[in-house]
Amino acid sequence: MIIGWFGRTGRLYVKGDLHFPRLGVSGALEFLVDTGANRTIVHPPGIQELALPLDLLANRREIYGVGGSAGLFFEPAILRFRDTDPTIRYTYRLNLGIAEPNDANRNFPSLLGRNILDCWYLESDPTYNILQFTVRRTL
Amino acid sequence: MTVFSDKDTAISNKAVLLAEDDPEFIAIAEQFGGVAALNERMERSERAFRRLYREMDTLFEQYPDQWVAMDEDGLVAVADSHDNLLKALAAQGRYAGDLATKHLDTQPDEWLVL
Repeated sequence: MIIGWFGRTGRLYVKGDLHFPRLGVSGALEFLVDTGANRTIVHPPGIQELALPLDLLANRREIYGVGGSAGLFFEPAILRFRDTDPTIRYTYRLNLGIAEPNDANRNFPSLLGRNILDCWYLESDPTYNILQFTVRRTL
Repeated sequence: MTVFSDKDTAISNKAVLLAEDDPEFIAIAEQFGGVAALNERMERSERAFRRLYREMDTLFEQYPDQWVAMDEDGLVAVADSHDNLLKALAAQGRYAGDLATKHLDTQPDEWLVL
């Protein structure tokens, strides 16, 4: 089981560890749990915290969402989560979206999208401060 | 690790769960000091985030609207902006990717994100 946290306003967060082999970058980030996002995306604060080299990013695509369109770079990455049993970790290989920074997204949290969440059972009970995820299946 | 090529028009959105002893993961982990080192870093940052959330109410009282960074032992830096937080961490030789960071925003924007 993976444990998450509620932010002050009730937003759902979970921590993941990211590793970008091509870029030689590795570090932990907090993700907003976003069941409306198809993909998992790192937004500008996360880009800065991990010191991702924007000039080395490639595979840019235009992505459309509720707030309009945005440029996303796609980068092969490893994303890992820790179980409450510290001997168990979940290690995903995926194409991570890295948002092109702009005025609108500069404070956005990074998003954990359905390419991961579809494989998890999510229990969210803000009344009792319980946010936990059970890995149900692989893709 | 090649998940797609530059010629892909529809980039794969699959997240593939790898075993910890998967040769591909082991090779990638070696680039960052090996699986054991990554697991140790993961434990430290996990403890940092747990501490951050455990102390969240106190942090909001003490540092409203500030950005904070914590490690497992406590507060590492406080700043009035994300940029200044990263500068403060850089001055200490600390990497934000090993820490738990948070904006203690008392009036968060309402937003929809894609």
